[in-house]
Amino acid sequence: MGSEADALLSPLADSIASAVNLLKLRRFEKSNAETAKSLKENLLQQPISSRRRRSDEDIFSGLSLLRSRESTPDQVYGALAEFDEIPVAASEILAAGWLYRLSAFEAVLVRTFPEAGRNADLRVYGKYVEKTDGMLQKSLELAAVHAEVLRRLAPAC
Amino acid sequence: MLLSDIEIAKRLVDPKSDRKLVVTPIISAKEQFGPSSLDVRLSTDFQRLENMNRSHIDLDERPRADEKVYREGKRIILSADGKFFLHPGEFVLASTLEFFRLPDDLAGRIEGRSSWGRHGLLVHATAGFVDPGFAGVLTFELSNAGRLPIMLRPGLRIGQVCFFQMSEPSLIPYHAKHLAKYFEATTLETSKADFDPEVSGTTPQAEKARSTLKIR
Repeated sequence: MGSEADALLSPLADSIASAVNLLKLRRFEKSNAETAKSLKENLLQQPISSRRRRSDEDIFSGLSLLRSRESTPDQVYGALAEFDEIPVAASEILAAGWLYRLSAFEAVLVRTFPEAGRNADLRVYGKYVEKTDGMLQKSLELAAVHAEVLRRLAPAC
Repeated sequence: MLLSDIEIAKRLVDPKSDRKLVVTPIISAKEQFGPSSLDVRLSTDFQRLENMNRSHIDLDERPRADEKVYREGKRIILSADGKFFLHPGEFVLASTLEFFRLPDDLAGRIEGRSSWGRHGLLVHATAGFVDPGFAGVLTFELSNAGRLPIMLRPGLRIGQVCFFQMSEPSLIPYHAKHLAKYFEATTLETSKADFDPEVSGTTPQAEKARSTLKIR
């Protein structure tokens, strides 16, 4: 389904892009698309409003070097600082949502219509929409509050 | 066993997926990590339970759909820089900014923070326990026991959560319960006591309503 969508939309990309650029919005770069792709992987497990600078493996290795009664508070705070997350852009969250929908839609339809169209269980489809919308809405809320808290924490100029 | 700061941190990045704890977002670890807890922030949504035209709470009264919204009270959703004034004696529901996913061998407990408690802010009335296997935001049952209104803002650290390692993983963690009423909630949810069989009975309609909770 993703490739069919690509085939349908690709010829229109230039005209859509020029119309959107007239709105003078912030450009959605390739790096934004890459971020959206990586966010998509976690969408059903947790909100996707932010990311850490380093991988979980790297952070775990750093924590494993700390020792009770030996590590200094500065060393501990240094390791914990790796958990500070960076908020992502709302456009990246929404793009991740669309990418997720494109990748999951077919499987949801199969679950909704388990007997080739007979006896549809629309509650399954309703739950899917409710869950993905809920996660996306929470992600947008988190990103906005996260940015506001960082603004308050920033030293006054 | 109560987890220490470093044990909580290790669980957040544990390489084994069945041991991994999710708490997101962590905005400022230096402020949020305590010796044996993690501070949690206030979200943007509040629910004020109305008492106008209600003499008491009776779960046996089945509200019509148009009454249900009124019964559940007024929902207030703030912008990221909005303010909410909690007046003395007032009780409102709110939720954590953070989304949690607990593994099957960790339980949690939400508590207030001393600095806010000294102003009279209580963050839960009775239900501070978090089951192993739970996922979603945690509900604050906020009340002001002081004599002056308290101004609250989204993002304030008003609570803390500590975690307990169980002697073995739960056999029926929250996500596997037959009636996981608040699983994967992404916003505050009002009471679903009317889903309980002793309240709603075991009629086909009640069973059908309960079955929607099991769809994942």
